[in-house]
Amino acid sequence: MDKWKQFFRDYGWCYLFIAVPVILFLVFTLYPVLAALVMSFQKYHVLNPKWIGFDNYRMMFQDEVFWKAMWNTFVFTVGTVPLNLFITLGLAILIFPRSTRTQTFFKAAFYLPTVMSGVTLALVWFWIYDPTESGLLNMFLGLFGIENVMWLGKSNSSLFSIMFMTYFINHGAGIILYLAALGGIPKSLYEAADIDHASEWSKFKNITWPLLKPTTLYLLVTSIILSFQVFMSIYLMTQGGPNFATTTIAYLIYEHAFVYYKFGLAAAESFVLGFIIILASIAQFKFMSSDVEY
Amino acid sequence: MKKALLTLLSAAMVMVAGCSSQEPTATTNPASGEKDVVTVWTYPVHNDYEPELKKLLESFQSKNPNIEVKYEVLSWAEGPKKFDIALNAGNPPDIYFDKPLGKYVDTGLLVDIKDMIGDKANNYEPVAIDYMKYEDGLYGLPLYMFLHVWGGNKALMEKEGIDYVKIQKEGWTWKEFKEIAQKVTKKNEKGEDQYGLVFQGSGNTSDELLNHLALNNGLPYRVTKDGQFTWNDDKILDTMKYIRELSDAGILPKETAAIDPKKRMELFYNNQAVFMGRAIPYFDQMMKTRNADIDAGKVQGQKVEFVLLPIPHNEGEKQVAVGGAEGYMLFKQKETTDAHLQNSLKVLEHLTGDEAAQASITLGLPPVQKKARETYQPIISKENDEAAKVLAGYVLPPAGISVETGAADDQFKAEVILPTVQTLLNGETTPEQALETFQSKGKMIFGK
Amino acid sequence: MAEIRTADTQMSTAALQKRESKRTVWRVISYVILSFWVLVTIIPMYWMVVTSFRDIGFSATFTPEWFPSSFSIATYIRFFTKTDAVQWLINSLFVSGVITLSNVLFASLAGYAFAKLRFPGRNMIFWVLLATMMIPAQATLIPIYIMVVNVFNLADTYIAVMLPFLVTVGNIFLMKQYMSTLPSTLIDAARIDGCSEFKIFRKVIMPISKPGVAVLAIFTFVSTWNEFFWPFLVTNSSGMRTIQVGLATFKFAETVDYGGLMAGSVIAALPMIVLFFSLQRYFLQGITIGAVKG
Repeated sequence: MDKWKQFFRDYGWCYLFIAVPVILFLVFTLYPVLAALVMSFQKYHVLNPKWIGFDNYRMMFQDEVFWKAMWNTFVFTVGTVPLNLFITLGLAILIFPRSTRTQTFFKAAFYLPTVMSGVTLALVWFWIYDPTESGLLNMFLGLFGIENVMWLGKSNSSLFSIMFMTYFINHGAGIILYLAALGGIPKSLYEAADIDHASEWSKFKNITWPLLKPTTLYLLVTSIILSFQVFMSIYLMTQGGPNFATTTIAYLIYEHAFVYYKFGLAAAESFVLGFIIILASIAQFKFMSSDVEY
Repeated sequence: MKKALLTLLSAAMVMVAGCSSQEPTATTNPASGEKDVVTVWTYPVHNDYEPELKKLLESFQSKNPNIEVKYEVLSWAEGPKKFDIALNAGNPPDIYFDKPLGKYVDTGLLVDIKDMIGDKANNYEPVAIDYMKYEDGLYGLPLYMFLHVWGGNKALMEKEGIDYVKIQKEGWTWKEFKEIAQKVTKKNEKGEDQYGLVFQGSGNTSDELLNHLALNNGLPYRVTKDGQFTWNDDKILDTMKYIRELSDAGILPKETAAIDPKKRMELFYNNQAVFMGRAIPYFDQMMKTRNADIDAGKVQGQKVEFVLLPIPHNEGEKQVAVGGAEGYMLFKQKETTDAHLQNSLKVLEHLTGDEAAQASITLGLPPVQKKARETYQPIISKENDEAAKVLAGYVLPPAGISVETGAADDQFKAEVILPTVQTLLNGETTPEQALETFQSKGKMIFGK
Repeated sequence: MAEIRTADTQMSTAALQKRESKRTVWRVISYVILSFWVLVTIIPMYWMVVTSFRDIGFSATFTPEWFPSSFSIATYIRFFTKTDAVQWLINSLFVSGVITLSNVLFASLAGYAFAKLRFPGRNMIFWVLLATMMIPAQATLIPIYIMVVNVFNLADTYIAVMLPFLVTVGNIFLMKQYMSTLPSTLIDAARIDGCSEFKIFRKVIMPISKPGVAVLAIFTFVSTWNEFFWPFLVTNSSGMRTIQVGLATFKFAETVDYGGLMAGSVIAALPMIVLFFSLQRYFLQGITIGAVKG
């Protein structure tokens, strides 16, 4: 009994601090996830679901579209996450030395477009990717005598076109986080480095980058999750076509669930995807984790 | 900052409180006691459908004071997903607008109303009723019959001397169509490309062009009633070859694989397309409204008049128009009382009854309700109305396939047809390769 | 000291000039890059605003224009008079406000606990939380829906719209990453002074966490404000819709009221823009305030 008392005296606060999130989590996240896990072993039916063991998983691994979607998701992630992180950090570093007013302007300019709905964004990107010569991108390439490209209509360019879009949207949040973190790095560290005549690169490598690690880790983990789960841009722009060239796992899950009502199969695919993301995240924590304190 | 947030929030709270306090007056009606609440989920089947629906429900409510109807107009893009989730959670609305799909029947929550409505099915056009059937059951009542065909630009056709009235009446063969379309495929006076035919070719409606032409090449059903898969011989090959020819000749824009329904419409509005598919009689109304907007200075652009045209058929084959019915269906929840089902059915009958004929009329289609059909006054142009009536006669009865075969066919469409047609249109696949894919995948999916 | 300085200046008059011109070139380059990126990012927003003043009625197509060819506020009038827009805005404000406050409070508490307190099961609990974030939402939609609508019978209520978002794992993760950069010495000092854990959180942590909290608040508010699918799923009457759900009703079978839709989108964006500018000064403060003592 005393041991318990002691335990509560020592750790009671800690558990209290996380109590509300954990309770909400148990009800609205963990329970649905467990329910979905059960579903993945069922032939789901609203009135009488049937237990079918690993059949959904077997079906999934035998489906060539699943592997294609896996590959597409992988390509999308590799082609967007590192580059976008680099762009975000680069833009933040370019903005950081400017006056407060300029900083505010750029922060607003990069962040505010994220308030637009995907549907509005898609309208404009459709126009940019318009396959005829009235499309913005084709008009631009036309100036150099390059023939019209069917950006979203060809197997070899459609996934890239979707990736290309991401290079110009959604940097705002990352820029704000990086600027806050950059502002948090004590000036004294740079001054000390200046005395040693350290180059800009070595200052970046030895001071900036290590101290940005918590922010980088957060951005990396969340953007990997989002990119593995990429769905909305595919849904709005290509519906997975042409010939599955832009079918990602998340899109396939959506199709299996809502077009075919194969909720069990969709759940199985979700867990395989989740498992891969967890592995990727563990790797990132291993490489990027360090308790940074200024 | 905290202050700013708190102010915002408290302001919102006050307003929420203020607004919700008005509600009780509407919901509690002591005179009638407990009302049975029937929920209806529907779609904006045309731009002014919601006011029409409101009126319908008012007249219903005045006759049935003990039933309260709560309706929601969903958006076309996202509505089906909301319904899918509600249905598969065992909690669908009582009444929903769509076609009776196999996957709905399969849930066991879609109610077969055949024995519940008595002889009321006789009040509707028989073909429309047939389209609400699956196997032996009747799963809803039709609101209208849709008609998917092709269309033309009136001014351009007149300029090119095309006798569209004759085409509307007699139809045209693939050869005739190609000749005419080839003639009008050229640069227009402004130096822009003028295409013989524009059709959407991207996303999940990219199969429609092949579908339209296959139907008109002696392939009335992809899968027949006895489960026989038919898209595996020379007929479908010839259809794909014909599409390839249209594309190679420049009649179809070479960018078709990346043209979505919106872009297709834009080309048509821009006078860059003489013929277009898929077209519906309602386009007559849409373009009239647009022309008025142009006259009023609201919209920049050129006025376009729309002419409804048949889909060309291959020589020696029957002309076919794509069509079917859409309407309201009755669903039950996990626990539903019989009394509630009966009440819901009353709502269903009213929503598709004689008073509901306006939906068909606005869409430019003869009503499916027999009584309303007798007094039908079309609002679309006379020639389009006549064409619509002729073309409606070419709509085939439903294939009458089983739920299981229907599911296989859905799978074949999504997994085989869409990707294959997309690559056929963008030139990555030849018709011969596409046929091979159809044959091998068809064997896998249909087993025959 | 004085000698060194003279030597330094003498040596580098030329070098200094070179450095100066190098800096100018760098400045120009950085502005060119920033401007280009900002331009591409902001184009969709520009069109949203321009189109909102074009009354093109119900239209099947939509071609963005570089420069507006007509000007009309009929779209805005239509938006406010023909729909329950005011109610939608109030709903969105309320829902987003509650969710933001709740996240600020609970995600900060939990983030602090995970970052700075040591207690048994800390890492495990955190990882379980994080792992569920990696299962795509499509898989868990039906179980959550069953929970909220069938079990708790909350359809068409504010609470249903808010429940799954009251504390999100992503926000806890964000706050954990942020709090981990705060100096532990401050906390230790407060503990030695005999402060209770909650008092430390309230009096020490929260004041120096303003930048992090501001970022959390704006991110949460914006993402909740833009949330479409869940509110759409659980609300049924027009009076309960949030603004994003309301905007979707502008799309019809073959046509869309683009002008009205864009006018609505502009109105929907305004509160977020206001919030951004009222919070943005906190982003800049950096963590230096706290680090002075450390």
